Amino acid sequence: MGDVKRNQWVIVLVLAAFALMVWSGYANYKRRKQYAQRQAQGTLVPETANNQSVQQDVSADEGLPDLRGKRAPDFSLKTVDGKKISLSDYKGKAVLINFWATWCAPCKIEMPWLVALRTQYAGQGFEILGVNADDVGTPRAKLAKFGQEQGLNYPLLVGDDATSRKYGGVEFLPTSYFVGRDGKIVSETAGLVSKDEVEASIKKALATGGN
Amino acid sequence: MFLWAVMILLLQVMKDQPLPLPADTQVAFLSPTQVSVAAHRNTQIDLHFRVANGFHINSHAPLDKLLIPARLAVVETPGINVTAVDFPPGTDYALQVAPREKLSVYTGEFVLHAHLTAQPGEHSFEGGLRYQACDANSCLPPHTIPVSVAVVAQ
Repeated sequence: MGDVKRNQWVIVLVLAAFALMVWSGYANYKRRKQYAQRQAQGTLVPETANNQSVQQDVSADEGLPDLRGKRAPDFSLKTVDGKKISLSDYKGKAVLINFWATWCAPCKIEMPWLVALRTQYAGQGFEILGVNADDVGTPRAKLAKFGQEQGLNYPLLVGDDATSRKYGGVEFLPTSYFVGRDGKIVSETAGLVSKDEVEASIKKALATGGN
Repeated sequence: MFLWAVMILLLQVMKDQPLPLPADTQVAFLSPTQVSVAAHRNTQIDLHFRVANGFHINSHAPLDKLLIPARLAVVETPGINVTAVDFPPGTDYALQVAPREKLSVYTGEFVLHAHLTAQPGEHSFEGGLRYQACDANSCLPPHTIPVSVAVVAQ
């Protein structure tokens, strides 16, 4: 009788182990599938490949906290020419807070788009605040020169850790937060997105009512 | 015995779960951990690194002066004289939205060649690789990882 009971327990445990193995296999399959999907989102262009593409990974969006619908944290920073600016100075306007750095190639790519969009929508109450994320101590003159060379038509602010922390740490650059006229974040992006996507977020921010 | 098997299975399952990649692990120093060299002779040590899948770092000679190059800072250590570090040439890379704007980068595994002479005895080659990593659409702040190799000179 005792042997029968022990055998039953062994069978149960074997079945449990088998179920665990099946689940483990499925979890692995799912993980590999997700990884393959993520890899399909970018393109690497090696010099020797004559434009033959190799798949690349994208991971910026994974690290962005969801602040949409929340009031944009206020901050006060100095511009590269020493003027103090606060987000609250732009009450009633739609604001794009764009975190960038001089060493960030994707940031440079989107800058001409931002310049054009700022020109297009400024009349409707739109502004861009470019918050720099270079090392603390980077000379303001260097940042100002960079802004001039890029033809930037919006304020460039010297960022700090406190401001970055308010926006979730801002690990990946560029990172953009689109603030509506009511002071709430309507959209956020980590990493380079298309100009159309930026414009759509600007329109969304402009469409919000002020308070 | 059976419980051990279950525990091993559980460990295997836990090991296979995807873990978030910390911000400071885009590049890993792979090898060597120890080398044996001839004392008083010019020797080359090959330092192997790997850039995480999906990421690239600027090469030692980026095409834009504002980009941060890969650099190896070597700590001066008694008994070892590092005379030069050779970096491999970068590979051209372009973001999908700007295919004409080329960057010079390292991806996957790359090797630096450190040239040194050592006094007889056991020493430690210490340094730090500074790099700035990006993926297809975004960039991370510059970071430094330690490089340490035990050097036995005879």
